[in-house]
Amino acid sequence: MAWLHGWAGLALGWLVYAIALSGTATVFKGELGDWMRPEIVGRAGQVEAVAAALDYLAKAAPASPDWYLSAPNARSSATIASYEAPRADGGRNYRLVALDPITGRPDGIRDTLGGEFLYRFHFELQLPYPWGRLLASAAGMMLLVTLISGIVTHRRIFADFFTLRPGKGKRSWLDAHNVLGVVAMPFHLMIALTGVLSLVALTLPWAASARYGDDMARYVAEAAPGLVAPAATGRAAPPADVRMMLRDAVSRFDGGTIGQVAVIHPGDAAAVLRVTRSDGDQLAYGAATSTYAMATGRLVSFYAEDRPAKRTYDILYGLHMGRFTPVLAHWLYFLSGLALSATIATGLILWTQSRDPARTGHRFVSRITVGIVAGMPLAIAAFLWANRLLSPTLAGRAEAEVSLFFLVLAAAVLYAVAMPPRRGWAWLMVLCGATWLMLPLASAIATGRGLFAGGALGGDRLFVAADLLFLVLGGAGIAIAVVTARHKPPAPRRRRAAA
Amino acid sequence: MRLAKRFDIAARTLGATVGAYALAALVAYALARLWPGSDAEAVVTGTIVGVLAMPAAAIWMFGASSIRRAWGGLALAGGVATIITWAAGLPT
Amino acid sequence: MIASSLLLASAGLALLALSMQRHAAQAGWPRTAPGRAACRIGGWGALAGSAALRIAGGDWPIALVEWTGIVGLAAALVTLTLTYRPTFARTALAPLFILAALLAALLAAV
Repeated sequence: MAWLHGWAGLALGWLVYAIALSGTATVFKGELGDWMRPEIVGRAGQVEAVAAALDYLAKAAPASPDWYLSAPNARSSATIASYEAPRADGGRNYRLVALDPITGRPDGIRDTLGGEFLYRFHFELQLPYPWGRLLASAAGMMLLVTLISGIVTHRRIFADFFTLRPGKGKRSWLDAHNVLGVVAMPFHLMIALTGVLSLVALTLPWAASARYGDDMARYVAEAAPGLVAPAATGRAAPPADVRMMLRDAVSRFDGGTIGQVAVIHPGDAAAVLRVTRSDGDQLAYGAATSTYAMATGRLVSFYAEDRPAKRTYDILYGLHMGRFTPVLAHWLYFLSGLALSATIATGLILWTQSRDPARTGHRFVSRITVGIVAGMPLAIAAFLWANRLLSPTLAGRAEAEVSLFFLVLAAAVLYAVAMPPRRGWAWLMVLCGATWLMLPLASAIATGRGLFAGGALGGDRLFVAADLLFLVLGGAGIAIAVVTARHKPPAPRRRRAAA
Repeated sequence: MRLAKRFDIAARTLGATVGAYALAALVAYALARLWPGSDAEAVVTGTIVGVLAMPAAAIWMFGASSIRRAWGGLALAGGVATIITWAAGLPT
Repeated sequence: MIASSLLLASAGLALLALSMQRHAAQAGWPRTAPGRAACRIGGWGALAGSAALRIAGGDWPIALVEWTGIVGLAAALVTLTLTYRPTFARTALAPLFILAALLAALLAAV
């Protein structure tokens, strides 16, 4: 079992670490989007914002077969729209655009993926469909198996529940690994299992074929009856009063707010408007959907999930997403996510410390581990720096931000491979910490908002909170660098048994 | 590493990956066929239980005292699911 | 409710730690004071109390999830305290309980 824990943990460990860390950042996806679009300062009611966005889409994307909108809410002030647009090479793909909640237009808002990039990276790994999702699923399953075998292997984790012995080299790494793994153990197990479950339609389609055979259309219709999608007629028809439909939907939401809005076949006589309730006040992912015939404004269907098995799945999925309201819950998810990332990182470091450093393979593994563990937080910081440094009007800047993320990650790994692990680790962590520490200042200069631009006085809560968080993360990075650099390993390195 | 040890680990790893996935697929299929509720509910139930079967099988493959026990247990669970699947026939 | 739940969870976990040989010695827990069994019972009691407090705050499914996180946070705090300020784990126990009770009473009154 110890063999399983060590090797399963290493096999996809770098990937699981990258997934865990990007997932942790995704807890604040909405807030991150707002931070990365500092031009948006206005606020508007949901009905007005969605109606304005639909007006804009009618002009900007009349040919798209469907429009998808995320309504602004307390965590995200932009309306996020996605629609199919022609690509430069003649193909078509979905484009994500942030719209001003008041005007409904993207003018003057810098082009960025915002929180969406790390969210997508978390389960698609920037690979083409379906490979990224398959790899992420495998990584999730690997994490689950590693966690369970870890509980068996580290038999003393509960006896050593509160034990942390700093300044003792490998002993300290092992203590940290155990403590971080144990204090958030329910979270770790839950997030690994629900992560695998969230992609299960792709990875385990056998139950569906057992009941539906090849009739996938019937399966999709019955799995999500709320997602009404009639066939287009080809005849055009102007929309009825959208605001009335949105208000009617809200009145059916039992005190809830609007989450997503979709228009299927916009402009067509058969077009429908689907309004989905926000799931931000409940555990379960997804909520009631109210659908209207766009041309007449008539209610076509109202669907709220009440089938027990599907409800159970929605709750498990919702647990993974962690979107339910109490702000404390978001922070607990964030901290637990950091704990999971750190458990994986310390586990990887332990793997390398437990093995003979004279062997080329082990040396290579330990250097790459240094590069990935320190490079990921550095790359996320670089992504945020790029958002502030690149000109707001630069063409293709959203892609440039993403490129910078990967460039910095690659550079960190290359640097780490070229350096002795201890030196590489210390310098990369110092660089990582400094990059986070200086971000608030750069942001204040670039946007005139935040902690160093008098934001605390002006009540700019999001920007001040973000700056404070960046300072804490930067400080932690420097502290880790200093603490690990100070420790002098015993001069003659004995070979020790595998952990 | 001795050859026998290498073989042991390779066989267990094969069971914990390919074998565990095959078991998950069989369990998902069999349970979905058996489940008395609506089609959509049967699919969700079968899928969730199938997913749970995979880490269970992986841990079993490494926890079992001998390689014969490990594969035997996996084959037994897979066999039961296969018989159910076969008896239930193909979807109509 | 959240703050008192966190305080009570920390007190409970500190008691559980003091019921363990290593940590009792670490924190200088006197031999004559409540024994290990009493610490264990008190610890689990305080943890149950912290769950009850958070659940009384409403919306029990979300409350349970949040409480799990609260216990994790408390565990991290107790571990750090025992590591870097071991005697504080002992001296802070009574104030933690009193503060949690006061906060809960205050919130119940509002």
